[in-house]
Amino acid sequence: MAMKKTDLIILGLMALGAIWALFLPNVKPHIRYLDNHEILYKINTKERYLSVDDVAKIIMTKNPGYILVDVRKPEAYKQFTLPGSINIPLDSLFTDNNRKLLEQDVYKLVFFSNGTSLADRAWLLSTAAGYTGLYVMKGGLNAWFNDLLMPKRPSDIAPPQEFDLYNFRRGAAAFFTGASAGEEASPAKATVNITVPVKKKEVGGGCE
Amino acid sequence: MGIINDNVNLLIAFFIGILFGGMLEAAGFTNTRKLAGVFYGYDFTVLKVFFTAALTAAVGLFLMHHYGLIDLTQVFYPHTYWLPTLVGAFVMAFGFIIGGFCPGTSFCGAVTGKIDALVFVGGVFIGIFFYAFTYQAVFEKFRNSTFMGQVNVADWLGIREGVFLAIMVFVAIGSFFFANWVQKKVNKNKSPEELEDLGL
Repeated sequence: MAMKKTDLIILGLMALGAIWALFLPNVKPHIRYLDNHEILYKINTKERYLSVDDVAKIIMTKNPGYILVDVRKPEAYKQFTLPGSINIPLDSLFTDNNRKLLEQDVYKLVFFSNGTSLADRAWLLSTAAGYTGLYVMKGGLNAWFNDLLMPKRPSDIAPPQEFDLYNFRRGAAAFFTGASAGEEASPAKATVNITVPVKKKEVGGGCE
Repeated sequence: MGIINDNVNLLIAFFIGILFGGMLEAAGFTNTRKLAGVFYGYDFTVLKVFFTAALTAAVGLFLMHHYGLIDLTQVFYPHTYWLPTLVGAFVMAFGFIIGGFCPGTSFCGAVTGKIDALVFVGGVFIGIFFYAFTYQAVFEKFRNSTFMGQVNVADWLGIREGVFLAIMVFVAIGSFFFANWVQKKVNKNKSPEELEDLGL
């Protein structure tokens, strides 16, 4: 029965806190402008960059966690853009409608432009304004064409990871351009076979 | 990421873990009969302790946020997948009734040398490995189904968060009095020896 008193005190405190909370506003996704040091720190971390391969994976797997944002002018967007992307030109980044997109925290936004710099500018402005969950496609659409859609075959002695990447890019190129990957992918497959015995020899040497 | 890096995070978790374990032991939560009591109606300590802990934390965090001591927008909370969560809750409840432990208390019990707790912990590990090795084949699709994003119940009900919190607190207080009433009824005809045996 001695417990009863402390029980009541604890319950009383909880009730008091609850009544107090009753009069307070919601925990809003409160947006705070970063100071110079914070901005500098964020600029120096490269976590914002996604490679064209990452972005290709997001599109191909229909990853629902990301929204691709083309920050170029509408004319450029109409000519060519990434599948499923939306257009928010840099100068209308902070209009009321687009602000909503920045404020939500369900989706991550991936900015992209022709190169890296325009998308980086969009990232910097919104990051400085306190928004989070923002990424930049490194190299932009130029890298998209040069690296992803027209991948260069690695040399025969390249490590297997490079061949994996190459094969992935061939597959991605087929996915995005509609070209058949079957025929041209086979020489790449053969080179993978060549690299295997090399690896085996290395392992054998290591064991002795 | 952020102000506290992952290693410091782990260190903090370690000390919080020690405190948590100590509190569980102090509250008698390494005793299966006390834990299972909530399902039979003779001991509602579990309900009271966890309800009090959760709501004290909720009220505390809410107030601290509003007076600038903590930034709740930076606090992680998981996404909701309602169906897997529901199924998981059932599995958890049955494990609780049958084994008399929840995962945390089983480790505390094991440390105090209880054989049933050690067996329970063994089972936990078997379960973990079984889940991990069959995840892709069996569980992955289900685990990722019925995604709802980050859900806030107050948002969902269309009321202010403070109001929801207050409702929860008063429901909890009500449930404590109800639990006390049930407990008194259930234990009315028990002899002092029986009550002693239940750790009351």
